[in-house]
Amino acid sequence: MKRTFLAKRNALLSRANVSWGTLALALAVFFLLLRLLAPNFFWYVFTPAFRMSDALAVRSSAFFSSFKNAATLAQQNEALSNQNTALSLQNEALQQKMESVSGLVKDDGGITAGVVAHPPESPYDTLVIAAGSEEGVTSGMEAFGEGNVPVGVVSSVLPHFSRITLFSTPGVSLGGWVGRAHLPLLMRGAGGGALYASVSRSAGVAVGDIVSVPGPGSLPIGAIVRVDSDPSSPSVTLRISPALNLFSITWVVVRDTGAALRGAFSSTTPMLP
Amino acid sequence: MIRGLGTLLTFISTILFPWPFTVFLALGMSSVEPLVPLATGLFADTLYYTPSAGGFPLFTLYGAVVTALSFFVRSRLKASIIGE
Repeated sequence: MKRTFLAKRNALLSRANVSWGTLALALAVFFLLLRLLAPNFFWYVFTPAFRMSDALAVRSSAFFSSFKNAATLAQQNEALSNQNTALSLQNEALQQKMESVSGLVKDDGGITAGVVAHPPESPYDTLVIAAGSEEGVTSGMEAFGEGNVPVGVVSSVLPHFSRITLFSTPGVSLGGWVGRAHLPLLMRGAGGGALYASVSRSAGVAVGDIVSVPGPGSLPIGAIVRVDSDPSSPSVTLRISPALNLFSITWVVVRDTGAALRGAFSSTTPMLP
Repeated sequence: MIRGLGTLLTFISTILFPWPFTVFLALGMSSVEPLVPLATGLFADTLYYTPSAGGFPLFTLYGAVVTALSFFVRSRLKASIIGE
């Protein structure tokens, strides 16, 4: 009679116990023995595996690092979202304000034109602009720079170009005011973008006083930078520097302000035409 | 077959993947193949243990502990009516 317990005598080596885990353990022991007995061969075999591991680690670290700052990114996203909302509200408020203001401001119908030539390309104290009779520019219209500062008068017109004679041109005279008291004075072009005027010594005009011209209203054209006085003369000469650098202007607005009519007053007749 | 693939993946992860992933796989495999954590720990120490550092082969020790626990749990389950 067979003794059935003999079947389990080699229980650890039975087929049922030769599992994947056993094989894995045997493989691990094999590699351990390989490292201990033949280390050179072991490292020779595993070097490619370690290189592959390094390459994979570099790529995976770059991938996972993008998730490390998730909290920071979420906070930043929330802050940007709030900022976007605030800016949208501010933009909407500004648009409403602009619409309300534009309803109050009357369109003056000016012609915006780019400056295509200024000194020294053009004759001194003149500008050439890219707008002419085809665009509605006529001789005698007044040109304004940035900030609605008067700079000159259109002196000649071509179909698509015009020439502006600046107020600083020698021989050009221009009426205006100086100071807060709006003391009237007659300015003359001194060339090179500068003007000068003579006023009474007792007028009390000082350096820094603003000079303005009619345009409509009172438009600042420059400021007094020097007061030349001669003790033997009852008047002083005011050196006026324009509010804009006339030779760096890139665009002007041209519109009719009656400059031609005012010029006619001073040069020809005191009577209205 | 799935056990074989799991065992192989655990071994490969020892070389290629970060150690937490290897630990996760070894713990998962311990429920079906109790010797896998020990084998994985032994393999990891074979690869990374430096005798000159003077430390213990911790991977092997941890693997042995998990394997022992796994065998203990399996023996309890076999002894109870749950394993039947």
